[in-house]
Amino acid sequence: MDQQLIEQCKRGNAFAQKRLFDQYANRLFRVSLRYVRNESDAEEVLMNGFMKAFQGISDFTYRDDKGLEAWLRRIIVNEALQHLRANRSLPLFQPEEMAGIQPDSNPLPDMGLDAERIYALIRELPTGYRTIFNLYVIEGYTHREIAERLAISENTSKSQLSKARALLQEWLTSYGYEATRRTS
Amino acid sequence: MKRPDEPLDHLVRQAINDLPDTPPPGSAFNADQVWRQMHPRLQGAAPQRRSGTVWWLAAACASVLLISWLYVELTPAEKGASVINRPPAASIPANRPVGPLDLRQRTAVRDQSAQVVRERPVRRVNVPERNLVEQTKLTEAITAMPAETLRIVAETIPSTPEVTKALATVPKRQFRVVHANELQAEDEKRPKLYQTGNVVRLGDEGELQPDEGEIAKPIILRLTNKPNQ
Repeated sequence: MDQQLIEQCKRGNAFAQKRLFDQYANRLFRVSLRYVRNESDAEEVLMNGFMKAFQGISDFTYRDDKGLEAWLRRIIVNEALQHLRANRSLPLFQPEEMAGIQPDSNPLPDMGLDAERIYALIRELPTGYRTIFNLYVIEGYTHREIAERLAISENTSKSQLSKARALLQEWLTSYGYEATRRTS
Repeated sequence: MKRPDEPLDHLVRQAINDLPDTPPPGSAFNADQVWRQMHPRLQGAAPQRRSGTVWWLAAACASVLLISWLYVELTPAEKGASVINRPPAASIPANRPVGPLDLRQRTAVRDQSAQVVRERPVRRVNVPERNLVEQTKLTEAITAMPAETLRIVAETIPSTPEVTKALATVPKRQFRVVHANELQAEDEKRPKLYQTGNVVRLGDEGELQPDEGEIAKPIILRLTNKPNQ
């Protein structure tokens, strides 16, 4: 079904574009919101990302729905990084960034340790930590790729990721999360 | 190489995958509103893509026409045939260089096996500007005439400087150089024919009847102005 949608979008069909937007807007808004904390900025990132997707969809080859979603997600992530760079939010790596940081507010206080709470805690991370944690843990980039994208060294990426993990684990522990650290 | 998987990373990835396909709780995100903002920009970008496509198509058509024209003009067989079929006067350009002119006699060798246009330099002359085109036409016309016609024309046409110069460009007849001994040897090989008109008979008329079995042997005196022959 998505394949027909893509073919119609390639022909510039506005109804097909609207259907594709409705199908992925909420999911990709969440992606945008993981990188850009402000909601209006996240909407702008989403809008610019879809604009680029519709303009470049003629070069996209549909294989399956996962491939389509991964392509759209990559566009949104690139757009979010560009937004952070334009707003001078990157690089924002300060050594003392980690000290004494607590979530701004207690997000979703009445909910347990579920997906929404973990998502909310990720959004509470400082910009530098959050960006590298998202890129490495969720998007699956390597430290070398992150270093190239953010114009930082690989060691900086590794140290920022380590600090982000420590901070997030501390917050999760306060919500009852207990994990045995293991390396495979 | 598989990267080390932290329990925290696994937990976070699982939580992200389990998120519902809705905006976060407490968010004011409205997909329809975002679409309404985006749709005019999307429509504005479409004509730009179409005009770009039109420009690319026009450029491609122009390129195809140019390449076709170059191919037709520069094909060797076509070019050779067009030169040979062209009349001599038509091959003269309208504006030729003024001053020392390297006149070239363009000879079309019409061989059945290969049609080749050969150029060979004839003579370098200084030509006045006003007589340039007429003299060139005259030269090429004379060049195309056979040698017998040229001789007759040279006797009948009054001699002018232009005609003299033009006739000077006609190729001269080539003679084979032969040694005198070779001519003498050829003469000796040739069968000797005696002409009765050059023979003087001596004696009376009655002696004209030869005896039986006897052949009359006239005295032969060759008429020649060379004393040693």
